[in-house]
Amino acid sequence: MRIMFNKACLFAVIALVLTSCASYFGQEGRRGVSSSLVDYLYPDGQVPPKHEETTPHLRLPLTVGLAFVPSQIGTPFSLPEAKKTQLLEEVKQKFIGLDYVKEITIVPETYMRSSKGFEGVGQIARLYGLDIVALVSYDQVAVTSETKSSVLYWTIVGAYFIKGNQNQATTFVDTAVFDVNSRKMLFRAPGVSDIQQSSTLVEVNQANRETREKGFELAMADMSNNLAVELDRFREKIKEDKSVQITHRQGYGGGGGIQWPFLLMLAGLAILRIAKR
Amino acid sequence: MGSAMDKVPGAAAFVYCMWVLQGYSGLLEFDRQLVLSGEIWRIWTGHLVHTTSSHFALNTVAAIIIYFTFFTRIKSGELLLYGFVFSALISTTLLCIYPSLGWYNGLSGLLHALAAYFSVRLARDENRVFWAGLVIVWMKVLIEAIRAHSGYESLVGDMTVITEAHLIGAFFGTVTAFICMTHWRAKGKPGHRPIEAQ
Repeated sequence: MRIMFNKACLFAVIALVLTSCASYFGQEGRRGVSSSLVDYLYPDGQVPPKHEETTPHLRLPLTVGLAFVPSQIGTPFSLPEAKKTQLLEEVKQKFIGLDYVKEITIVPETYMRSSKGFEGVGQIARLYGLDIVALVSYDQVAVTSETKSSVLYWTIVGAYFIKGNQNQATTFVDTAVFDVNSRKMLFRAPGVSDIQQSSTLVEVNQANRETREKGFELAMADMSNNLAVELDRFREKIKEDKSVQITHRQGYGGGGGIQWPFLLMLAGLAILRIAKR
Repeated sequence: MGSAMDKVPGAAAFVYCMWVLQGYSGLLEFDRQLVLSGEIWRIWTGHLVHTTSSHFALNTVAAIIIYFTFFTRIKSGELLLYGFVFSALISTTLLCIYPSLGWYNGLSGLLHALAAYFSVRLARDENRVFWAGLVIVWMKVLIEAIRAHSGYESLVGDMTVITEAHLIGAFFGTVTAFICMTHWRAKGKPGHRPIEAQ
């Protein structure tokens, strides 16, 4: 009877130890962070207004605000403010040289949190003197899973040297550019990234964080490229239609230039005159 | 044809000078704040420099075509004199009635003025067909003005074309030509020595 009791205690201890190890090694999980442009611009269930035929009026050169749409407060896996500012700074550097852009101002997320909706955007625009705002919303899902080699974590030493965890981050960012006065969206550009990184058990948290940050960096870079393409398309579009009215403010300049159609007409006249001689 | 060939070295020198001046556009272009702070030469030199190579090429080619096709009989001295006067008038007007314009460069405003002026004069002195030149200039600037009013932006590459300079140039060229004609008629002398038919 005593032997049976001892055996039972031994199995219980082994089971307990095994459960602890399993809990200790169990780093698998799916985590995410996101911010919604629609929820931010139309908070508390507001319904977007009906489409109105208003024509945005842009006065060049433009002062542009660039900001992340805030995520839910308390979301544990959102990027730190400093990292967000760094990412926006990289986007800013790509577009600051445009002659129709006077200034690009990065708006901190704390300012964006203070009030929601177009009223909030309008307050920030007045505060910074912005003409248009580019709002970056995002959605990131980070997954950490164990690979077959994670079995070597049982050796304890393996937790330090065997890369048995796979960290994956799928990131989607979307920048929507709005005219502040008319509240009209001018154009938008998405950016995506999907990266994986393996790590040891003890480095899994750090690797996961790095993967998520890298995912944001790549998605923002992709978005910047797409934004440049969309900007070119937008410029061509407003040349063709009357969807946006453009005027120039003080300090704007340009050149007196003959354009191709007139030059071709001149050449035609010259040929006619030479032929007549 | 021979007289046109005689003008080729002068035209080549003109293009070369314009090309050399491109290197000094920062010093020469029309900049509102710098003109108001005393750099008066920019009123004239702003018309001789260009924003980009394509801007320079288009304006220079247009100037050469206009000159060799229609205005080879015009004396170089007259071109320089009227160029001096019109460039000052265009720049001063931009300075006074377009306070939002920060900077300007390019030959085309001046070209419009010279084309309008000499079209009127040659139409009177040589051949009525030159009235067509004036009509073309005015049709062009009016189309540009209507497009600008409708919100369209004229571009040469990435550079915004200041179509107001064209309108001002055409206006001063035409008005100056009619004032001169009226003045000469009142004095009972021809405005210009009749030009031999080509």
